[in-house]
Amino acid sequence: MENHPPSADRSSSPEPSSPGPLNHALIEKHDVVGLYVTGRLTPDDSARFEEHYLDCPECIAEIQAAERLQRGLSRAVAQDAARVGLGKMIARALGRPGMAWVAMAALLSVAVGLPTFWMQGRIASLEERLLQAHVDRSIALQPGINTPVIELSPLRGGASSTYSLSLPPTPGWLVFALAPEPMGETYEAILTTAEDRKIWQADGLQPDPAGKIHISFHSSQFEPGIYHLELIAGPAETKAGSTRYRLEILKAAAHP
Amino acid sequence: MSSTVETKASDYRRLVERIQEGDPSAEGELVESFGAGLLMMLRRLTGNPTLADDLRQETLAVVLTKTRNGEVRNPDALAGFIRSTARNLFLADRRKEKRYGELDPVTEHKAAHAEGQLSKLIRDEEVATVRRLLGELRLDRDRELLIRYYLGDDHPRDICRDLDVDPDRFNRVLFRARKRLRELWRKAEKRKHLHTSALFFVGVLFLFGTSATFVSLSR
Ligand SMILES: [Zn+2]
Repeated sequence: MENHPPSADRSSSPEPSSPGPLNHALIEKHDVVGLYVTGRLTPDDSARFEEHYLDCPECIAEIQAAERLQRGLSRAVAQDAARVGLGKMIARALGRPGMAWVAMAALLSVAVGLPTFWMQGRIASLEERLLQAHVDRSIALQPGINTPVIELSPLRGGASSTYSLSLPPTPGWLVFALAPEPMGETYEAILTTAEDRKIWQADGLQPDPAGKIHISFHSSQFEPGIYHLELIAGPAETKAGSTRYRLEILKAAAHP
Repeated sequence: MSSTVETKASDYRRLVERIQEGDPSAEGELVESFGAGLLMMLRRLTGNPTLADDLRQETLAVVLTKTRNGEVRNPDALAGFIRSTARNLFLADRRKEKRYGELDPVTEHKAAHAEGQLSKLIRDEEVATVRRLLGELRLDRDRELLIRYYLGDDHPRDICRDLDVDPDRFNRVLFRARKRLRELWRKAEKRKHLHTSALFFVGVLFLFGTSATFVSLSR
């Protein structure tokens, strides 16, 4: 039996993941434990790894170590970010805002030793995300009107069944109605970019009485480009087949 | 490697046969072998240790009943069967229960690290050990690698490219960090154990001394 490496969210593997049991050499070589704990394994590879570690004390201990490492890092960074806030306050108190990063860098490198520049970028990106979350929340609280419902047909053979869609000029909800072909009680849905980078995934989707699955995405989740949406019938372990849809998201049309 | 896989499959087959033959120790072995892994998987799925433990009990009960009744169609794939049973029970439970809130799969993964699951003491110790580990790393780049890998959502390929690290070294850093961390924790556990033993010893000496004084005074 030849084993193939598991793939990190489909895009990292030079070859597709193949079914089959895992062994420790492969788990170590591809850091399957880390990929699993950080949520970077594909659902198939997660399933393979879970089947392996269910009765493997070594892997369970490795997962625990990875989880503790992740938790410890996350808290250390949070504590340091709080100290960075303190650095800003010190600098502000000194009346020299330009000194803020110097104070922070000193705090971080002396007391913590975390990579300072990465931390700066990370905090900036977290602040940006927080702001975006506030904006998204206020958008989400608006009643939805004229919500477009887009019926998607499955991808068969060539690329002719790509659905092209322009982003709305103002951000809003897009509802996709999908009629998957292998009928299942529940479905797993995976949205990937053209480069096969997974951007969203959900399990336990249930069809309506007409057999259709409805998924709403906020338009702000999309950058213009090609996306693939895959619906897999049945729970992850009893997949009865999947249906793929291809979406082309175009830039928002300019206001008339 | 296939021999290991085959050995596992034949072990599973034998275990299923023994359960079907009514061997009670075989049932205990199944619980012993799969209990910890099941709890780990369910805790990550639910993000709730109590709920995970309930689901583990439920899963083991269902698995044992089905095994006894000969409903395990492929005994070689016993682990897969146990995993499916656990996931199906989780999905069924989530459908009927509100206790999961609005968890999406990404949150599911992260929820396993939710606040309040560990006492503050353990949390502080984890942070201290991680800081010590970071301090032991010689290169800033390795520290950044660990942080970006465990806390960021960058693709490993992007981290390798940005830090100019080849994938082999990348995996080596990750693997060694975890190994070292486990060593540090083991040492911390040992120290704690020694500390507790020392306290106990001092306590016993104190009691002995007090009672000896009491006896001599009462004479
Ligand atoms: Zn293992």
